[in-house]
Amino acid sequence: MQHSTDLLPERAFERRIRRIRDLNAEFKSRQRLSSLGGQINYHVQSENDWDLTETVTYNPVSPVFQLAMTFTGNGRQSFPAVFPYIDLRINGITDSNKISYLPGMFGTLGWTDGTTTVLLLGAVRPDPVYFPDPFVQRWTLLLQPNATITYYAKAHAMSSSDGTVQIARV
Amino acid sequence: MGVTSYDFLPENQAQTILQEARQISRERKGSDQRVGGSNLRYFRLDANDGSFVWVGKADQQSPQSPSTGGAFFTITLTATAVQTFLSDVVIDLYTSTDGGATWVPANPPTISYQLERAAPITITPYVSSYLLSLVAPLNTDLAFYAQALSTVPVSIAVTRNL
Repeated sequence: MQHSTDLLPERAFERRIRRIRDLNAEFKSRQRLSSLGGQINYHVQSENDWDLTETVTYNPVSPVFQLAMTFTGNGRQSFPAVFPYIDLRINGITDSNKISYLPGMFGTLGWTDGTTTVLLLGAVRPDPVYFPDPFVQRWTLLLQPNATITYYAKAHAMSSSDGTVQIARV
Repeated sequence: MGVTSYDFLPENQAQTILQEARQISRERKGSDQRVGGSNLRYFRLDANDGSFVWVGKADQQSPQSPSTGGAFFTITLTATAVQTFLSDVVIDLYTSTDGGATWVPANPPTISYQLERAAPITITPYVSSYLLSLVAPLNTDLAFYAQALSTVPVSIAVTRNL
């Protein structure tokens, strides 16, 4: 509902009506995080700065390890829409320790400082074991470091139901 | 609420907005539904006013396969009013064999793409990010449209990373 002509002076009346409508929609909603779409969504996270911090010793035989994030709904909505996010940092917690496209790696996601490199093997994948569960959903993520690393992970979920999130190494 | 083809005329926009406000108000008041609140409403946005968002070449050479090229993007949706919203993005990928004079839909397996939520990176209030990878024979001409679907009005930005 946004148009490039919205800012024209002759649209002032319309803009005001739209703003009243928007404010009205926001006031009526019962939650802090409401939306004009009529859908109440939640940003679910724990109160910890980081949910999981661990130093993983490099094992040349099997370097890959797995993180699993679990969302547990509060039971008020069956099969909610949940989008998982894992804020993952390697060897530090600044923005430069975030995951990104690795240079020269053809779109592979990971982190590198030039010597230590961590590859993400694929995406954050849903775990089919929990598909029948109306309230619990789980995702896994595979990481492959080439040296001993310390990682910091925090689980977030954007969801249509409130709940809790956990993250663990499995 | 009747929807007519006149609803989107500029001179009828004020009326359309009032009708929508009435509708949303009714749904909120009357609903007692499992999904909580009123019926879900989605907003659709064509990036770049329905023109190609990006035109270029798959010129990132694959280290494993030198005849394969790629282009890698971040697509960012930004909402102004709401911190947390549900959204999705689709793209429509085209290719050209005459230097961009004519464009035809690009088909797998020769040309393919992956579009995923930027789940392993971060979460930011008001923002939803997606990662897009285009893979094609090296230096193929590619272009794509992008469209966002979300529960709030958003703006869309496409950034090429590699």
